[in-house]
Amino acid sequence: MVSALDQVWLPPPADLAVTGDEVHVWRAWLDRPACHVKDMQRILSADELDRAACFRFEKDHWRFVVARALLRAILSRYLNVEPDQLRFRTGDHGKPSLTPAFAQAALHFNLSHSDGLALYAVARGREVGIDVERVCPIAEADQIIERLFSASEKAAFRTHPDNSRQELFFTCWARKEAYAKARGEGLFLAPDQFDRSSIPWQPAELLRAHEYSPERHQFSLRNLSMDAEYVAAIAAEGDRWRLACWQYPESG
Amino acid sequence: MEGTFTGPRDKVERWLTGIWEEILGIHPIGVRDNFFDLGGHSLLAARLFARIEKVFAQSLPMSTLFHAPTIEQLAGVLRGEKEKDSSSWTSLMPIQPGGSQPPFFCVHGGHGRTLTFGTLSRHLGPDQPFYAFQARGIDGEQSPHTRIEDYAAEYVMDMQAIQPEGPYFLGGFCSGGTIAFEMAQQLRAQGHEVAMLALLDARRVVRQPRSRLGRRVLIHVGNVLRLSVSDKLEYLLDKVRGVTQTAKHSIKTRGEAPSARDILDRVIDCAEREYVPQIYPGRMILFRPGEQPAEYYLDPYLGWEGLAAGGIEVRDIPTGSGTMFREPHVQTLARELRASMEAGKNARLSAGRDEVLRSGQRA
Repeated sequence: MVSALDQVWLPPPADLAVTGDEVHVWRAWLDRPACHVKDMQRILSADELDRAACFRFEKDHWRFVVARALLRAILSRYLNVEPDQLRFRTGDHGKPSLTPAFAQAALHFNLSHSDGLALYAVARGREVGIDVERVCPIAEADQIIERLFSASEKAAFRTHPDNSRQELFFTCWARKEAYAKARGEGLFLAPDQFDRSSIPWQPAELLRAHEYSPERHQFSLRNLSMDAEYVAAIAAEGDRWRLACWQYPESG
Repeated sequence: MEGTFTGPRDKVERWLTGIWEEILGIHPIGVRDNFFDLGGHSLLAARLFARIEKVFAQSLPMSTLFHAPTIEQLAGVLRGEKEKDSSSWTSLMPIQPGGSQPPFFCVHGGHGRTLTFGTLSRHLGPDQPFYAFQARGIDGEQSPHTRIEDYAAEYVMDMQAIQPEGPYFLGGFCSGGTIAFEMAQQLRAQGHEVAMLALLDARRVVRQPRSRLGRRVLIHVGNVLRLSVSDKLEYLLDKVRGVTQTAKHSIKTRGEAPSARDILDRVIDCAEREYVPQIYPGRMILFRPGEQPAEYYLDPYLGWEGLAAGGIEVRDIPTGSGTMFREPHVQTLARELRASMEAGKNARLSAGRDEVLRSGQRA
């Protein structure tokens, strides 16, 4: 469905850097051997471990631990800082970012994980948002479309063949989420204000959030090509950026 | 862990429990389980609210879950119980309101969050009521207090709505320890008994030589909160730039207004540095992490020495700083805390005759 010739998941080069016109996406599996996970725990902050401790299920707990540990490992490659030295702050709507001490590198990032698969977006000097969703049947899909999707999205669903509606639903959802996360809000706030979208199967699209000045806060969206069971999308400020996709090593 | 499980108690809660179990794929779910701790995320929330809309014909925003993340609270919203406006704001957060023991009241750490207390409460068991305080200003709507004394006064007032008379069992985590210390002072000054004052991983923050500048920063931060969001940054950069290096470092951000939580953290930190503790007439217990940051390593009393006339009891929890609320250390903390509460109750029994005498005089 997505034509994405630029999206090949490569092993990262040793001399990794993200330039101003790139957006890097990392893909990583979160279910890892217990011995690795215990080591990963050591690089997390007290805040992160507190959040991890709140999950009722061990699976959620360990996936959160690995997701945050890999985030630190990935960012440390760009910043030349030890992973446990990184400090994060949380925006009013929960979006994590690096503290001002690391502001000089102008590194922006975002992460998402669903059912054991994590995606990380890293960019320099532009906000990014990313979302991955595991495709599964949704009994409430019609109501959610009615309630939260824009007029153009609804129209797309009306004309779409039944056999791929499920994937379309998740693609739409991932795009909304990625866009909302790029703006630092998250879908909990205003999914229905996302009315500038969208012809969901177009791989790239420029969006303009009306309340921001158009020069600075244009976002463009792309679908990411994933394994069959997942869909994903990325949003980043501006439209002149290209993607580089890295596969995080299995034993890293 | 399972001790605090509460099943649904009416039709609305029963219906919500069924939906949560179906959507989250988990069984059983208690009415006080937190949606996000169960692995809930935005798509699951969308499914939940789609179902709610169908049955209740109420179209609630998904952000409702931030204020009402449990079945119990969501049922309250659906029954039409109004969310609290600022005039009925209370700092008190019931973490576990049931039980026959005298309640334990515990003050938040620097970020004003009470998230960390759930696990401790579970380990204290279903018979131990547990209340936390949340800091005014955490929602970014109200201005936070800028003095420790004001935090303490508000919390004492809200606490007395639940428990009007002593003996009180108080605790505080991190900066919350300083607030709990001041609450105990105010309660004693009102003639109340404090059966336990527990400082959990709470270091006394030493007054800095630059504290007059710190005060100025504090005033500015207070002012910022009264400004509109768009004016905040400009004001901050104007006033804070050049006042102190540290404040500048922690408040100035990359062209964004600081988040409410970051501001609150900063305000409480400044308030703590400004606070001049008087000698507390009673006794206090310090729950100390085994591993302390280097600058406190040599001080077994974490800076509190000489500030409690009744003595300071130190209980070591074998953990690093900031981690005593996590498994497995939290189990040791719960055990030690329970022992201290027992000791507080027994001390009260043995002093019972004095009590009778004093209350006789008051009457």
